[in-house]
Amino acid sequence: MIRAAMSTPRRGDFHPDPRIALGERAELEDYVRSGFDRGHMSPSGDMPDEQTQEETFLLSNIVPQRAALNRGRWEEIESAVRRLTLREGELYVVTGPAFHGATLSAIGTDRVLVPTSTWKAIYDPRREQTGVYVCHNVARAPGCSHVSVAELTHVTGIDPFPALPARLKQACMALPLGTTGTTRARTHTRTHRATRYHRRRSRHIYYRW
Amino acid sequence: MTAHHPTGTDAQVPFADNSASRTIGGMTVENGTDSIAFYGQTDLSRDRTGLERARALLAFMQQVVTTLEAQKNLPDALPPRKPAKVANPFA
Repeated sequence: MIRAAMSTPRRGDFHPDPRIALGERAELEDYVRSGFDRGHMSPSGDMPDEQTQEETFLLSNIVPQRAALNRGRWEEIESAVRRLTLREGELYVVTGPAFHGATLSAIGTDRVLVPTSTWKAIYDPRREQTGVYVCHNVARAPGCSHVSVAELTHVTGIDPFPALPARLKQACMALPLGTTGTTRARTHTRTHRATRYHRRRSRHIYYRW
Repeated sequence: MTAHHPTGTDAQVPFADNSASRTIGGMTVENGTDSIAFYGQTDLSRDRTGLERARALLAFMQQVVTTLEAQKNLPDALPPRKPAKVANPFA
């Protein structure tokens, strides 16, 4: 599938999702002059043929994503997950937005909500391990990190793999790429403040949602 | 999926629509009536492939230049539009 995806030329047309009622769905115009990229959740680059690729251009699969993230770290993570899939043979991948904080930005007349982070959850059936990439949707130097599925579920209320037992969701598997910049620096600061609380927190990489 | 295809061909006219996403010479080009997102990385190798890529990119760039040059009252810079602030419905 991944090899088929890699040989499928990248092309598509963004379009509103007709399965969602007018007034409730995003329209192309909402993104015009918004300053945001149209960020794919399911990547067009994962799709093995033109039909499935076209479906990824539905605006129901799109969130307002900062160019610095969409064209930079996020694209690198998508490519890394494709390479990991080739190595492992099979991966389950679920991607979504997270909305954190009391107020959110919204674009266009349809008030399309801007996620504060985007995340990508991975289940590797061969290793029986899971993990999550998560990145801040910010304009400058977006920080990315790895968290456990348990933490993702705790923060967002979403369990991307409801059929998997809880024991597979407590720790984040080793993932290629994804930890950068400010988030990493913050981890180190925390580790060095050796109160019991911080020592406990520093066992996994800290991500400020 | 039977979605509409406003630009169902390979041809991409700069600034003509808000939907077409294509790759030209290894670069991603996402059309917009306000702005075209143009990003990615590519190699312009010293061979026939490199020449083809360079020609495709040059043809696209020339179209952009021609379109912008032909526009009357082209502003120095489009005014930025700030997103609205709304209460988080998920909080």
